[in-house]
Amino acid sequence: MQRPIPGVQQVQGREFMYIESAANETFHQLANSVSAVCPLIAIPRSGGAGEEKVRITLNNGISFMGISYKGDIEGWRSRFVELCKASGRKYGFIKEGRLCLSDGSSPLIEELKISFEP
Amino acid sequence: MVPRPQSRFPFLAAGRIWLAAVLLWLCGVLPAGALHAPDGIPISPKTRVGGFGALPAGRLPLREQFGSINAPGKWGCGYEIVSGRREWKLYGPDINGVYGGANGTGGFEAVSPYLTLFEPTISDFRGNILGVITNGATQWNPARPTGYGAVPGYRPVALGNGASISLSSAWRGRWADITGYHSVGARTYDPVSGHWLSFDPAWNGLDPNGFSAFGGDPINFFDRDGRVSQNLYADQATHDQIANAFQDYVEEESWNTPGMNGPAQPGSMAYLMDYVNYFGWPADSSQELQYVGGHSSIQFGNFADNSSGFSLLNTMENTDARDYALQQWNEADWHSGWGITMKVASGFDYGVNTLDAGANMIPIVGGVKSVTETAVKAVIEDVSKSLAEDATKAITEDAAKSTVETSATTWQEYERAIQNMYGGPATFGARQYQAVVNGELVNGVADNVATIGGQSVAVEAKFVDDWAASIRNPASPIGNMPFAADAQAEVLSQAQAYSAAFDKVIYHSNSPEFIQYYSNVFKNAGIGNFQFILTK
Repeated sequence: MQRPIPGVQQVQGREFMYIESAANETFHQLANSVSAVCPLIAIPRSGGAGEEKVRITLNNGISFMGISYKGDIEGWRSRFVELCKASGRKYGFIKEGRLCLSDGSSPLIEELKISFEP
Repeated sequence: MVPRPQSRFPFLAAGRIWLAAVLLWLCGVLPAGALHAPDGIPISPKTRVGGFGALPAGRLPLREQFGSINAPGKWGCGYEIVSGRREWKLYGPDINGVYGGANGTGGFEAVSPYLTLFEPTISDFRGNILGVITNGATQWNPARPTGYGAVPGYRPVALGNGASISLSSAWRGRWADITGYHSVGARTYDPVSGHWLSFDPAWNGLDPNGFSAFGGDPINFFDRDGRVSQNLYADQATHDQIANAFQDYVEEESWNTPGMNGPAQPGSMAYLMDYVNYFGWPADSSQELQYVGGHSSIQFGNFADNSSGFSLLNTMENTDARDYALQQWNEADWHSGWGITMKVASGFDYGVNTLDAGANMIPIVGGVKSVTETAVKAVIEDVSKSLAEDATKAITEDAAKSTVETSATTWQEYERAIQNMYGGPATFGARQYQAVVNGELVNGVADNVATIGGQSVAVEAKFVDDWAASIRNPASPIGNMPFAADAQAEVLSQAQAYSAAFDKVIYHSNSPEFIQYYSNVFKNAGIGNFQFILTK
């Protein structure tokens, strides 16, 4: 049975985010690049982040890695948002059946390609 | 798998080694000796991070080699160890216009997180570090310094908690250590109470009780070395000179260098003032606003457009240093991004560039890692004692209820068997995580991950061949060896990382003793979201 798309259902204490990412980019490559691209961004006070084993691909081929974080949610969110801004990546959050992206677009989830990893 | 500290800058490349050699050579020119501020007051070794050294006989100060210098010829550099990595600090003239004249206050001009990148700081008139320019963009410091320290809730992050030097040096360019205090020369300063922790060894009339700071007026007075409160900002002529220089600079120089982001635009003074107003910066007065960003200004430019540094290099009288400097200046990697020269705000003091770094190196040893390890070992020692007192503590209820057989005989077989219990191993990338443990970012890779009941779960397999001889058992014959203690600490630090990053952690182990021991270790360390399952 296919699991729900991370972010469609709210999970208390955890936030789900989608970050534009090459298909072969690993979570560590993504997360470690924050310190390189935004060396001054503060380290979150607590918690952690990881990959959600899901990718969403837009109709134009742009692929997003699903990640989530807990603990200092604002701290983790700013970390990844700053990375995206500094490196020109799009990012987004799922809201009301749509993937609301940083470029202002908000395609319906059901119209996008969802790939779950094993 | 073991979480590993994040490596932020995985180089120097071999081709840049010479660059390190140049800086080290330059620093070697100015050995750590008896240090004195220009007025003769010895500078405490504790605060020599700026490095203001006496010169060897017969050696021209690097600053003087450049000419056109209005201050005694000392240009400082120093480094500090941040998350195990050496970061260089470059110092220009202090707030009184003299190199080292205020024990580094206001002189902190730039950070070099690694030797091919320099990040100029943006400081205000009182030496507070408001931001830093990195990768062509301005990063504002989230801390909001006041005269005495910082606004509650916006205090600088302590150096050693993963903060950068710039972030933690918001107040007067001095970083806070993990205690939250600042070392200022002879004494330690508490920014929360606005008092020194010890009596003034010299005593000064402005602080007659010996503990109060800055004569009760941190706006107009500062104590640069913990022994005397002085009005370092008293000279109105200096005020005007700095302000005018900055205004001129904004108007005349190329703040709008292509590719430069942030406030470095024409009218940037207004930008800075808007920023201060918007964020409620605790501006001391309208005059303070006027000087935001005015203490030192940084001239960026691409090398081809900026010949001042190059010309000044050619004027160096020390030919060895000049050759090194020119070689460095012309190195493609060096200025491929930005040629950097610094224009000190006195208005006529061009030409200080990153090459003339040379002074004392003050390594700050220790740091979070050793503190963390010590803490972890202490926890384990405590748990060992408690177990000795209460040997009846049982295997966790969960483990007792759910014994599963794997028939594995090696840790590899065991790990695979555990992975298969969750539908096979997730991809390597999907098992990666990052967590904050004791204020430090760590990377880790779980043996497996799963989503159970909507929760993100880490799965870890712990195969123990012989608990009585295991290095993870403090009571084993080798259990108190240093490497064994490290291995035991590692189990806990891994659990802390799992606990931070995942909603739940499931440990499988074939050893009831391992489960018994470490379930107590984890509980005593305050980890609550783990579950042990005895899996033979």
